[in-house]
Amino acid sequence: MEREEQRRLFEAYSDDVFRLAYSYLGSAQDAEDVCQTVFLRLAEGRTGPRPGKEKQWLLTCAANASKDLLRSFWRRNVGELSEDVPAAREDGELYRAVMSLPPKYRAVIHLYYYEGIGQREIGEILRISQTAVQTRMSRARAMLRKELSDDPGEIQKDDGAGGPQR
Amino acid sequence: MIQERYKKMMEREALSGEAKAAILERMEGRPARRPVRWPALIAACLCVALLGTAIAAAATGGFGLWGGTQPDGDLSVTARQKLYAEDEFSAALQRDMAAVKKSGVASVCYPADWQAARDYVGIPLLENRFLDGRETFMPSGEMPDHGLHVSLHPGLVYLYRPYEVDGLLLTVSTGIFTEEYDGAPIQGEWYPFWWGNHEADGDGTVTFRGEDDGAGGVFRLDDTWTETMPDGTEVLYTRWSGDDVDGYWLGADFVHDGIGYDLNVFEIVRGVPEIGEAFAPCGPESGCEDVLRQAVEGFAFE
Repeated sequence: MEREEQRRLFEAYSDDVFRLAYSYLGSAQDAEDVCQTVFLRLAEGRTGPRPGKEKQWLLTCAANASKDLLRSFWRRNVGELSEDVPAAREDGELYRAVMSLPPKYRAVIHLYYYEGIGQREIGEILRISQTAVQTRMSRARAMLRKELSDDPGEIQKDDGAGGPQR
Repeated sequence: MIQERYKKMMEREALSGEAKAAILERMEGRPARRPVRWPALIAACLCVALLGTAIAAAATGGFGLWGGTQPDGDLSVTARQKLYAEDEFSAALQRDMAAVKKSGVASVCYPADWQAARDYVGIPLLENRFLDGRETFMPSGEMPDHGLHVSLHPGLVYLYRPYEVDGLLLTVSTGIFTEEYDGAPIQGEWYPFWWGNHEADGDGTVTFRGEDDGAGGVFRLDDTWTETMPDGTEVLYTRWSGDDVDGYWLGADFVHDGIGYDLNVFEIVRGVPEIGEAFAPCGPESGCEDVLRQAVEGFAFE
């Protein structure tokens, strides 16, 4: 892949890669590192996306790199490195609720709610079955519902089969 | 709706301009490097290595923390070791730990080889005729790749390379800080292991009680000696042990051209659940002292 094309992909998708990593890791600094890992891998050119599947490939790399980082002994020992939620953060309640979910649930929530990706594609990106996506979505929603219990109307009980709202 | 709220929330999170510029620069300038995350063994060794440094410093008149300066934002840095009297060290460490805890940042670089490390930091690192060309120790766990990892964040640039020599694990690392020691907070990944109580009894015994499940404990400096290399570099050897530990750890530290070098040798324990390999203290029958000495003397001190 030409440098120019790599640069275009970086400009187009680096924030998406960052956000998916952030949803996993809860740390902007770690998410930046994941971003670097993903795009350096792209720059190496040893492997790369198929035409038309660039974003999916990048998100898959981001998910894998995030999972690697989560599994690392160092991070497990350090514990959560996420920054404290600023008291003034207006979305603090939602932020805390989302970040209280296990990372694998956060990733599904992110891909569904933010990226607007359907369950089948989420499964392809995360390399899990569609059933697993459904299960995680369902559990994540239940947890969010519990965490945001003062606003029960927030979480719909749809199963996501039709894809999220765009 | 939750989706709108979530999207709005995540829209605020974006890759910083600095990070974008840094990544683009590396994409265009360093195509052959491959990032890697080392698992358990490495992190544990980092902790032990730096712990060894602190204890080694105790033998020379105080406790030490590696510090450095970052002139003009360049990565070419000069490292120094700041020594503390025992009664000052705990307070200094606590202060730094608080800063690190707040920042939550670690910067670590795992070079594929010393040349890669040299390219990155822009400073000459010593060649080593004993180690150059040797196999790098590759843990069997989640190690799909082997290469250079460079964090985007300032703080410590820690160059690390593990070797397997005669069935032993020999780690060679350099510590280079890119933050002013007294001023901006030092950022290094080993500090979290030092969170918690820290005690020194003045007799060479230092107690670290980390929050983790493996790096805390009581470590005792058993022996220390120095040797002078041909160019005058003083190498400090330390042998230290821990409570409930069978054997001891061996380390060697020296500073050359402002860069701190730290070598440690361990026995390799294979088949550790969820980790693969881990390290263990060695004993005299393992030949670890010979390996460490050969590795130190293999550096091009001239």
